[in-house]
Formats: sequence, structure tokens, C-alpha cells
Amino acid sequence: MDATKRPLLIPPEFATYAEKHGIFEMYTKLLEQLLINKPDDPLTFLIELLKRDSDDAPQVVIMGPPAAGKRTIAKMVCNRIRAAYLTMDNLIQEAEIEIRKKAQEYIKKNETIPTELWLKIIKERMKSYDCIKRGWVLEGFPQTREQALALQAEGIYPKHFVLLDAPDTVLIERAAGKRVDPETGDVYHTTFDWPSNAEVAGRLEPVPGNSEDELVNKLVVYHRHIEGLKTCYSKILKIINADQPKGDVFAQTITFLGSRLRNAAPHNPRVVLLGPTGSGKGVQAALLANKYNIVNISCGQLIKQAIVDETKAGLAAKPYLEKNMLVPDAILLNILKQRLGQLDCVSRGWVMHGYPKTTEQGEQLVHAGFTPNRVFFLDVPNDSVIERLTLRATDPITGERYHMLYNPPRTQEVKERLRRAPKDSPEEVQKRLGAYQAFVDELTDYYVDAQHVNADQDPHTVFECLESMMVNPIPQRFDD
Amino acid sequence: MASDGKDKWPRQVDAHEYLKNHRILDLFDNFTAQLIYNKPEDPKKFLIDQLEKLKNARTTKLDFPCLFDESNIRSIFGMLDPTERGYITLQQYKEALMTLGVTDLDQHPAGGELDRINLDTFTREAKRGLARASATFEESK
Repeated sequence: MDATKRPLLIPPEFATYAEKHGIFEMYTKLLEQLLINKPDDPLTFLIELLKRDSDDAPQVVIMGPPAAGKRTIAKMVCNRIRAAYLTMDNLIQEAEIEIRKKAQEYIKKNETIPTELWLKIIKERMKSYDCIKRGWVLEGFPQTREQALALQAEGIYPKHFVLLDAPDTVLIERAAGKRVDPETGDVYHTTFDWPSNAEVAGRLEPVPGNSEDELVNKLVVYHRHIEGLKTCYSKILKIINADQPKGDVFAQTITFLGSRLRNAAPHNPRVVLLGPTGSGKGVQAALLANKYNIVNISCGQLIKQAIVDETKAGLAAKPYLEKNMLVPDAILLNILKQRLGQLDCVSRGWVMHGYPKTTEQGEQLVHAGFTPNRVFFLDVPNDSVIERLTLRATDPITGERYHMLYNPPRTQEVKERLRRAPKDSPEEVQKRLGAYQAFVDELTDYYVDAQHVNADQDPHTVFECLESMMVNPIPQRFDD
Repeated sequence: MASDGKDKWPRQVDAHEYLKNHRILDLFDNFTAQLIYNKPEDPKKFLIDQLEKLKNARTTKLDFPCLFDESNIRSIFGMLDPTERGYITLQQYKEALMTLGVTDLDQHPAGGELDRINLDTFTREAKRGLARASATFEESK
């Protein structure tokens, strides 16, 4: 439709609504499926699709050279995320009898199974309930670019592609000690990963076809195809070094599976920065506001502004500030509501710091209709804060600001006349730190989706970290 | 799209044709309108309901799910005719239907040449246009 003929006026609240319910992602998915399947009756098809309700179902491919630990990791991942576990072996086992026979013939003749047959098997399997509802982890397939493209043409495209990588020498060495439990199919290793259960240990068998020559041949085939696969899945690829303890490999894999692809959904950042005094909330907020053209909302500044403007709320807050007391929540919320409700905040987004300080304030904020979509904790150890703040000083004559460690004064003369701001005295800083520590645990519990940043680094490093977290969707959490 | 594009990207052309034939984009436009207006707690369930309604409407050719009903159309007419003369001008008629989202309106309705369009004509045209705008599926051949 011509936008000039029928101007689209979308109320700003709808943006929040759409973001909360993932409307954009849902549309993308529905349209994608429509275009892949091109059903004759799109209405019925869409109803079916919506009823399935499986947006968050993981779809993972775990790939790697022989003996990289694909099976071990895939099994661990499946246990954690409760997805269907698919390997080339069990796919054939569970296929329909006719197809299974065909496939087994190929295996008997020691030939590779043609891509079309694989496609048929996998397509059938993916249609089953557990794959749709709980997602799937496909191990060791596709092996070639051709297979990957064929899957893609059928609309099977994983959300994550994990590539376990290790140097060939490591793999050859590792393969020699590989043992398999014939009953469960679990993989163990004579030196690195011996089963704790004596019964299991008793029935372990060496794997056929793992001699050095055979493995070298397998590796040659693997290296021939892996580059093609990498380009195919470049957007969702994560290479994980498999030459580590399996717990580490697993931890990295799970973290990666939690990440989500950036999508083109329009979103207004509504950021809350939390952190102790001196953690750089103000600095980071200013940087974010500047780069993304969003409104920088400093709670303290707003109160002072309100007092100067002599607004009703400002006048109410004034006596508290003069007596050096905390401004009551109700007044504070009023001031914030007025600012956040203005058009620039609604249409461009905001980054707030200095609020909320307690869980109640956080709840009130949500209640007032201003739900943040990103919450960041800037974590700094107390010692660093004290070092950052108490060593700051100002030259009363030039107004120049110094820091005893990072930006010391040049001459003795200047050094002697430096003055420290009263709010930077160790006692004051301690007091503010204490106030923050009293509520930080409670806030951490309240904001479950909050992300933590190590703020004890260069401001621009912290900024980059925040940027990536703001731009990318919030990672998924897999609870045990 | 140019003909050379057709040879180059057959699948893209197919996709565009599919979207056009089944009026998918109009369908999604209407979804969005409904979502903005209703803001349902569970958008998925809501959309399923909408689709079911649309499916029923397709078989019965009645009651297309639409944001506007007859009372809305009447009140628009009332707004355009505050002195209750009983008719509006051709210009007003066109603008009003456009605002409602009727794209293929009758350019020469009854009374158009006199610049006097009465409530009946307006309601009829608006209803017809709205039904067409919300009948987002392939017209049966």
C-alpha cells in the first residue's frame, strides 16, 4: 500500500507491546514458512503454524572432525535443553522400513547414502512431535555443502551451528584411546575420560575403524568439505576448541546456544544501568545516549532540574534534598514519569541511571508503564571504586581536575593546592557503597534478565560490551 | 519486475506472485491493525481466532473480520455532514473511504455528478470496500 495515501499512525505503546510479544519475529517466521511451503490454503496453514507454538525450540547442528567429541557434547546438550537427539545412525534406525532398507543397502555396499534419501529421512523425522515442540540437535550432519544446501531448500536451517575443532594430531592421538559403551553408545576415553561406573568400564569396546591410517583418510575427507559448510552457515557458526576438558567445551556450547541472532525488529532501547557509585554509569549512559541518539536520564539531575524549574514535584522534593535525606519514592516516581512520558523518550528510547535503587522502585517503574528492555549491572570491586573516587582532586585556581594515579598534577605547587570534593572522602564513598550493597542482591533477583558487565576496565571496553548486549537480543536461559 | 529479473531469480518471482495471489501482505496488514486495536494478552491465540473467523467468512462470504462496523461508517458520515444536510461532497466521499482503508473505491457513485452523496450510497460503498479489504485470501476462480 502507498504509505503517502494512507499514513500509518502507529501508537507508541504498540511498539512496547509488539516487542514484549515478539510480534515482528512471529511475522517473520510466519512469512518465512509461507514462502517455503507455499500452501494452497494459507489460512489453514497459518492456523496450524500458530498452534504449534514452538518459537524457542532449539535447532542445533553439532559438527566436527572424527574424535572431536561430537557425540559426548551432543548428548550433554540434549540432556540440558531437552531436545531430540538425532544422529545419522538413529535417523536411519527410526526411519520407515522401506527407507531404512534402502539406506542399509548403501551402508552394506560401503557407499555413501545419496543426499535425496537423507533429505527424505530427515524431513520425516523433523515433522514428528518432539522435534517440533522441543527442538532438535543434529550430530554430524550435514557433512557437505551440497547436503547443507539441500536441507536449506527444504526449509531446514539450524539456529546454531557448533563446530568442534581440534588439531589433527590431537584427534589422531585421542582416537586411539576411544572406547564405546555398546549398550548406550556413550563414548569414553582410556586416559582422559574413564567411566566412574565399574560395570560400564567392564563392557567398553574399542571402536572399529579408528586406526591412524583410517582416521587420516577420514580427516582428509572432513577437511575437504568443512570449508564449504563454514561458508554455508557463516552467520550461525561458532567454532569451539575441542582440545579442552569436556566441561569447558560444554559450557561454551551452552552459552553459544543461548545467544540469539540479531533481527531487524525495530526496537527502542529502554536501558537501566545499575552499579555502585563510581562504576561509570554516568559515563556509559552519556556514551550510549550520544551514539544511539537516545535520552540520557540521570535521576539526580532530574530532581535538581525539577527543583530549579519549581515544579510541584520539585518543590516537594526540595526540603528532603536540603536536609540531605532521600527523596520519597512517590515524589521521585512523579518526576520520572513526567520525563519518561515525553515524546522524545517514547519515540527514541532512554538510558537511565541512578534509579531504581530498590526493588520497590523497580516495581513502581514497571507499574507506571515504563518497562526497561535491557538492564545492565556494572560490576566493580569496592577497592577499585575507592581508588577511582577518593584520589580525585580539583585545582581551585585553574579548575583543572586531577587523579593522583591516572592523571597526577605536574608540579609540586599544583599538588599542594589540590582540594578533594567533600563527596569524594573515603567515608562518604563507603557510605554510598554500603547503600548500594544493601540492595544489590535484591535487585539482582528482581531483574532476572539483567546482564552483568565487568566495569573495572577501560571505559570504551565497557562501552563496547554494553553496545553488543544492547543491540543483540537477550540470550535465552537454559535452566537445569 | 523486468523480464530479465524473471530469468535470474525465478524463486523470487514465484514468491512475489504467491504473496500477491493469496493477498498475504494485506492479510498481515489487517493482523497488525487488529493487534494495535485490541492488544490481546495472547497474540497467538488471538490471531488463530482471527484466522478461523476469516476462514468461516470465506465459506459463507459473510461477516469478514474488520475493525469498522456500520456504526463507525455512520459516525464518519455524521462528522462530514455536521449540519445534517443529508449528503456529502464527492471529495469528502473519496477522502473518507480512503481513510477507512478502501483502496478501490467507486469513482462515480450515485449522486457523484451533483456532488451530493447520501448516507445510503456512502454506507453501501464503504461496506463493500471494507469487505474486499478484509477478504484477504485468493478469490475463487
